[in-house]
Amino acid sequence: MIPDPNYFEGIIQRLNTGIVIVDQVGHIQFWNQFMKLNSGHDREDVLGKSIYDIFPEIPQSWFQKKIDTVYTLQHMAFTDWKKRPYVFRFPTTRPITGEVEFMYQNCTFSPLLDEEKKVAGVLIVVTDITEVAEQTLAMQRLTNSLEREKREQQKLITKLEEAQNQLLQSEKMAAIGQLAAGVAHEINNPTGFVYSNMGSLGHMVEDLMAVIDVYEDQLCRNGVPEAQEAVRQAKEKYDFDYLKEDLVSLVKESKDGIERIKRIVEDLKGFSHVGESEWQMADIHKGLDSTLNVVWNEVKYKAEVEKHFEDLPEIECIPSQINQVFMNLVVNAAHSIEKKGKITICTGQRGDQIFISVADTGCGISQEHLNRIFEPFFTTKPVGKGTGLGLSVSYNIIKKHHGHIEVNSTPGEGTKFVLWLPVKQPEIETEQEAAQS
Amino acid sequence: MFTQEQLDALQEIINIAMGQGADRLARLIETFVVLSVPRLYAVKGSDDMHEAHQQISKQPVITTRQSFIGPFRGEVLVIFGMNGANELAELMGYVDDGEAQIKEELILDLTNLLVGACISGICEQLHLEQSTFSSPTLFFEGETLNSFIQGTALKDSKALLVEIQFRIESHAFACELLICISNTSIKAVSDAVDRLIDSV
Repeated sequence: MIPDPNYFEGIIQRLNTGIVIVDQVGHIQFWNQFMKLNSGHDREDVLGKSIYDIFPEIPQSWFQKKIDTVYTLQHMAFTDWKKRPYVFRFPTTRPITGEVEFMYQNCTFSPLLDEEKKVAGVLIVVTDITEVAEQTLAMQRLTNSLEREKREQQKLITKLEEAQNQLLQSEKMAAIGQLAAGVAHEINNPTGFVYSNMGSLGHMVEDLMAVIDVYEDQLCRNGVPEAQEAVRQAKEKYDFDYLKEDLVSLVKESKDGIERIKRIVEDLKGFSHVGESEWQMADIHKGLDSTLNVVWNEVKYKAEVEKHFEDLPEIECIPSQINQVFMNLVVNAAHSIEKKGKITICTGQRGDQIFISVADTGCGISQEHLNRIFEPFFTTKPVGKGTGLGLSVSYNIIKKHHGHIEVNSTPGEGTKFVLWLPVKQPEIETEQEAAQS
Repeated sequence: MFTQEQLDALQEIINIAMGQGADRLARLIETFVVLSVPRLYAVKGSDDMHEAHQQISKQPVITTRQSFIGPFRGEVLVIFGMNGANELAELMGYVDDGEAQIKEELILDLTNLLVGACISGICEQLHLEQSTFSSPTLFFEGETLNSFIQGTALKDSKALLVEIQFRIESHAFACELLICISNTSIKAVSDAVDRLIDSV
């Protein structure tokens, strides 16, 4: 039995898919129920009319190219909701619970051929895929947020690793500090008695020489010629005149050497002394000098150091911490100098504040880095060379002292750091902070 | 697989089909389209495949795919350089250009056109029933073909590989097509080729 044509017409009308047939210029030839329900236009109203008039939202030149493709190539054409959410602006099929405003659609354009195998029309099939689209979009959002979280976690992990490295580093530094203090203490005792012995030795040598002078004098006047000759020969053999001169200068040089050992040991003790973390009135210049002694080895091949110290009052501070800041600045200055340069250290007083400035002729800091140098873990040194904490710690120490740090830098010319510190700490806070520390 | 005689015949058929495809394409976008003489490879799997395309596969590419279904069945990969498609936006009827969205849609449009022109042409020449097509999709982006194919097992492609270069002269645009014919349609194709050879 052949069903009558209305039977097929009925099926097409009831398909839950949009079906439109247009001709080569876009005039509508067919229109099913789905299109009517979603567009609100009755079939009778649209037949023969241009699809561009019924749907002004369709980009005409683009749509026409699709029709041309079908006509010229006798080939299908497609639209994809991911690239173009809708062709026909239909309301969403989930008006209550859905999240999107329009019906997401995929469209296919297929050629309809006549008996002569010529294209007689374009069949446009509109599929509603709002459901799939919503799920896909939700999944995409989820993926994005997961990836964002992953990136953030990665960042945190990196930070943790850095913090752990820093912890190891500071543990190491603390151990070295302890060790240095211990060694300094041990060296201090023998140095003490060698130093005092050297003092005595100096006097004794002088006395000894005086006695020998008397001997000589007496020998000259009263001695028998044989004895005089024997003494003369002995003096010649042992080069007595040189010996006499050299003995004195040897003792003097040794004394100088011991004095230097004593000074360095004392500076080392003062610098790494753990107990000395209390607020006290201290001479900044003494701290600067002893810190310079400690870091001298880092500096001496790189730069000559020029000091311009004005008169300074004693200021209220934690000397070991101020020394640490100062050491940081000087070592940084030395590191910034590639071959040979100059480090200028100035001090002075302005009102109730004192300043210490450290200027170098090194490579300078670029503007983008300048904003970040006090950030913890920020470093431009190669991995493993710098911790990126020196300036951050310095900043915190100066802040704790109610002072501030100024930086001026010109890349290629050099950098100048200026520390400003109050002579007297504000009273109440000092006690609180001392308790905290 | 195919005999040498069949391969020679296929080479000729595809050459004619592609010529017609290019001609239709030229009429559609109203500009000259130049295409290389198609090169045929009988491949046994992805190893041969990537060996066949050493030349194109070194640069990062955008590759799209579209399948064709019918007696003649398989998938076509279209390989675009990372740039170049943008210039064709106007030819394809796009008004506001510049957006990434449009660029991708344009590439899919081009894929559809090229694949349609080629496959329909081949079916016509072989007197096979016209294939129907799935919607074209983006296959991968930003990798070289080599690195992508090495990491992906291409199933059921122990068949025929056609390498064609399209160039749209005025727009300095070029792309390559890999037509992969599935195992299931090899018999149909080889029968059709035999019929054609016999009829000559």
